[in-house]
Amino acid sequence: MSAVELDRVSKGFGQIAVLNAVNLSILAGSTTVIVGASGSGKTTLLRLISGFEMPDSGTISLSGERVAGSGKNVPAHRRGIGLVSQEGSLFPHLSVEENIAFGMGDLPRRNRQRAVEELLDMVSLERSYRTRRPDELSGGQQQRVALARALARKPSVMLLDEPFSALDTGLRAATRDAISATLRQQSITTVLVTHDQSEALSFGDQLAVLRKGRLVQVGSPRELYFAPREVSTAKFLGDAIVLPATVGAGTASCAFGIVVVAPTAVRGAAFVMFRPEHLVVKKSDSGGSAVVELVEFGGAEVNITVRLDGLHSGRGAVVKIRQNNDLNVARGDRVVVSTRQPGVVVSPDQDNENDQGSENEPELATG
Amino acid sequence: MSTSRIAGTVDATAAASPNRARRGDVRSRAPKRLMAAAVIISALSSVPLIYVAVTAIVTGWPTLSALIFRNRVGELLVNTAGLVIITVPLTAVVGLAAALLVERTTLPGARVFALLLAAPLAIPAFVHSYGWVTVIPSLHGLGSGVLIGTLAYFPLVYLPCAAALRRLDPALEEAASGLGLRPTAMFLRVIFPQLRLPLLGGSLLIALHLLAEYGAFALIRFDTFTTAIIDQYRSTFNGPAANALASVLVFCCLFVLVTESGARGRARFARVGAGASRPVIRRRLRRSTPAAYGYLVVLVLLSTGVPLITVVRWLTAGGARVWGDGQIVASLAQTLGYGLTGAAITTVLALPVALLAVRYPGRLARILESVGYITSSLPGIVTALALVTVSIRYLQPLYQSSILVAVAYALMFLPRALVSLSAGLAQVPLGLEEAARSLGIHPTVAFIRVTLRFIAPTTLAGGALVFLGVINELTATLLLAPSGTRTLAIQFWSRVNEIDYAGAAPYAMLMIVLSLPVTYLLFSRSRLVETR
Amino acid sequence: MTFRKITGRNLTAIGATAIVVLLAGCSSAPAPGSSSSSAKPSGEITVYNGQHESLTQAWADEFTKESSVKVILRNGEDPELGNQLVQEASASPADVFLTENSPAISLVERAKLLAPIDAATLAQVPAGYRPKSGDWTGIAARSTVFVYNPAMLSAAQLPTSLLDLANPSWKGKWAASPSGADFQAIVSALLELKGKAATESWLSAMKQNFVAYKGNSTVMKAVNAGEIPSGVIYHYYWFGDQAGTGENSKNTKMMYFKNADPGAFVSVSGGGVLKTSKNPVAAQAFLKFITAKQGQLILQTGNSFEYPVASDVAANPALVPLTELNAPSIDPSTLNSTTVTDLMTRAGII
Repeated sequence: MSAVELDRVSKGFGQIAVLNAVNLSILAGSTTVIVGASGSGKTTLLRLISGFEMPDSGTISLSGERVAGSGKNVPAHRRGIGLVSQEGSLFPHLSVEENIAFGMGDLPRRNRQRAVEELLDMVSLERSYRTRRPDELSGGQQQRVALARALARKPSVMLLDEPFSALDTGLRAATRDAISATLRQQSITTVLVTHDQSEALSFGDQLAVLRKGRLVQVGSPRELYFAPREVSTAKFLGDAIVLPATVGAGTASCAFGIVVVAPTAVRGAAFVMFRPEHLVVKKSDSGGSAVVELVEFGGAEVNITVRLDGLHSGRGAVVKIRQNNDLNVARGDRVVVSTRQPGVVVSPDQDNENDQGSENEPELATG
Repeated sequence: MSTSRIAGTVDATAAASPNRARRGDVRSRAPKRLMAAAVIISALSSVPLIYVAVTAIVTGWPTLSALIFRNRVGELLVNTAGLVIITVPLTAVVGLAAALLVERTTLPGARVFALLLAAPLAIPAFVHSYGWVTVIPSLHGLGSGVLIGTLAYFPLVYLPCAAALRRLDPALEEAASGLGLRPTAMFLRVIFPQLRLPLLGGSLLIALHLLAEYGAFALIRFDTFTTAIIDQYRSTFNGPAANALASVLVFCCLFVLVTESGARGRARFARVGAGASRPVIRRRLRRSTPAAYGYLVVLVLLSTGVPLITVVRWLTAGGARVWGDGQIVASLAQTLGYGLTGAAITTVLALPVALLAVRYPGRLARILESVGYITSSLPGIVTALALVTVSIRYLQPLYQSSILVAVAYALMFLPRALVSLSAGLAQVPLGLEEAARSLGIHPTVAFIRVTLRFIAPTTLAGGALVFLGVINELTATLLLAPSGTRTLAIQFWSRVNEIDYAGAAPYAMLMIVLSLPVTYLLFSRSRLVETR
Repeated sequence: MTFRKITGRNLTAIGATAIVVLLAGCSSAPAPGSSSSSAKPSGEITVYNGQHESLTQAWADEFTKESSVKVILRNGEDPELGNQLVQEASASPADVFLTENSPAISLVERAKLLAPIDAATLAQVPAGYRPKSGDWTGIAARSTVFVYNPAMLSAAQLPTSLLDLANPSWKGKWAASPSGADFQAIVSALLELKGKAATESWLSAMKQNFVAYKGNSTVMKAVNAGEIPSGVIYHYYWFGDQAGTGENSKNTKMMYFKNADPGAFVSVSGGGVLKTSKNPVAAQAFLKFITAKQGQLILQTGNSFEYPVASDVAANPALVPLTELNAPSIDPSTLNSTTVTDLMTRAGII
């Protein structure tokens, strides 16, 4: 049974449509990541699920029970959800224990203390932190307290609103792992909202990409990374080389020449995408199809900017390719670029009729 | 009425630190109940404006024009306009000069002067007048009005200017001197433009105070619209002539408001950043030190010394007799009662409007807010006349009740509470309240347990400013209060009217004593921003 | 934030006190009085008081001592309170109206808001000091006087009539308190004696000549200080100050116009009971007390220096007896305040 079910949910503020007919189903016990750029509507989506906003149309159900839409509106405090937000929103005037116990109702002091200690164990925080004030904790610790506070009510769904984005890089990974582990251990249905692509790929079982109020693709992280449907999705989830192409049966013609592409129904003008890790640059003394324009040393990797002649397709392009640092090329060298995986045909974005040009123009590609 | 609306200016700058906007950028619609409450409160606020408009219409143009276009009104207009036009720039110069000396020079003892220059605010304007009339009994007319107005109100410019001067980023001035600007040019081209908002804000408050003040000008026989309205009221209760004058006065107030907002342009608050990280640049005064001292000492003596010394002199002259009439304690208790209830009711009424303004900003919120501001800029006598008429005709049970007085105070002083509350609310992350709701706490309980807890300090500060307004209020209290009410201001005024200056002194003293803590609060708030 | 220093507990305590104080004020609603005139007065009454606060307070204190009726004063100016009563009409919380001058109470009488005064009270007051209607009664009287500073005005320069003050030679030489009921009563006498046209032209001349002060005391103080040579006020301000330190009158002299001149006008202070009084027994008893010997003696012996008018009580020996003032004879109930205010407003004086 799905723990969260959104059926054609739309929401606007004044004249601005923020969410547009969003359908989303989240399995009980699973972890779903909703990823999108800022302004894509992901926070609104979360606020609709949590009950801080009402959908204009469509319905929302939690564990099979309708909570919003069709005349129903269960207020936030009766939806049985847990919420951890970016800033944690710990009550600064209360101790860790008082924070965690905030929603517990009246409990005898000893029971309360025991419950709080169990929750601290659960989020891997020392029990001695019980008496501290939020400002005596690090950011990561604060987020774990916020999680413990939300867990205290045994929520059916845990909503995480960019809970790691305010943390330092080092702390971020550790906190993310700790929280992820706790939630999996407790088998709690989790929805994480983030704009961080690496977090999006690593955190969840299911990944949903939201753009301009539309869910453009839902699937496993692997599926979305390797087979994005639209240009923006491809670029959002990782470095991508996207080239204009003419697609035929099983092949496409682009600046690399004629390349094999993964099976697709698309024919004609489209884009073809490659992940840089799938490209291989080789120095070629016998006049390759590209010239190295710039080499940037980056430690384990080097970024090589090459100009593709585009002889076969008539379309030249400049692309930046990440390679291991053992490649020894210099500016002006001629190279051959080949690919280890078939290209992926992606469509132009469906939503931005107005600014199509700039959005869909492949990065660093000149026509 | 006679004391500061400076709350506005000072807190507005405090509120400049922007509310952490909810991520997601767009705002949802306000809950219906909150909106309804705010609309009802603003409707209540608009009663005086509607009253003036309706009375004008009902009176009819022929009668009204006969009452407005006559020599007497011309005289009043000349007096009132003259008072505002001369006093406002004068206070701006006096206040700004004082602020510059205190904040931007190395004058020893500047800290002491910083406080002393705020002290006139603790003295009701009519007590200023009382002091001066004692010293120079023949004081009367425009010149005297300007003198009293300037001395009583210059702190309304001084305080916000001083606060702004403390927060100007020295980097700007360093950059300017790097560009070769000489000190005078530096002041005119770099510092002065940054003081535009506090200067305008303070000037607006002063203009409105001048328009609304009764006691201070009645004592020196200087007739303004407000004193004339009260004369008419004394002769006819709320006759058509009083109302016709009131409508002209309302027009004057609106004119002042519009002028100020035009001059201010689009900047809502002084955007002065989060505060300078380094101390401001202070100039060393060399040969001009004695002159600077002379200026500050004379200013303090004239503004605080004269009224204070007079009160003490009368107290000494009156001896034990003036304390012994048995009414002082009752009057003090009554004043405290009104002050505290007025503050409480005003704060409660301000809350929905502030919530709407901070959390659901939009056109409706702006309109509702501005109704409160406009009404509070009307003189107390206009608000009181409106409430007297409305309550006699439509709300008999409220007529001459304490509740009606409290409502009048709320209308007159709403922005004081509003500004403080909004500043406080803007500082509370919305996430906290939502976190509580997600933990299964009812929204109302969440608001009380979380938000209210956080805005308590600013709420108290706003309440204190309302309290200050109430204890010095004279005209509205006279008209609206239940029979037998004798606040400190009423007692003071009735004794002054019988030329029992000694008998009035204890009441003046008590009003000053009650006002001092709030004035100090105001003073320390204006300096607070520095350390944030 | 720095406001933590105000502790919540302190404020709560103050707030609680405040609310108790206010509630105490509200709860003392007037006790329902019985309408039978033989009943013993009790409860409390609200008096709209245009008279001097100290005088009425003295009456009230004495009355309360005697009858245990609590008296609440609402102080104001005659015309203000008179017009207020008319607007409040049947909803007025007032039980008794006391004025300094008769026009305001006549206004209320004409609005038919006054109850007949008890016969026993009327019996205490000579007919000349009360209207025929018996709806209100005189309670005291005061005389118009010309106060002047002999250093600035010689005896030869004194006016012989109030009307003289309209002459251009008096420009800037005399003061009055036009927004007060006292001066407006004097104008109403002028209106009664000389008619509307004469009053109108006198007022427009006055607008040119006079200097406005707020309050008769202030006028006298200004004359005393030499700010202005003379003023038109009532007699008792001068006597009251002389009885005290004299610091506001020691440089002044007083002149009575006499000769039945409008400037010799003797104004009758009135007292009436509202028809809508919720405690008419106590209200009637209060007026009876004021006009009885005891109440009138307060005028004779107190520091009000107003003239007693009832129960054959003589004036304070310091005063010129009423009978020697040669005042114009005017029926107090005919004086009209509304026309006077209109005329004065039109003349630009108020």
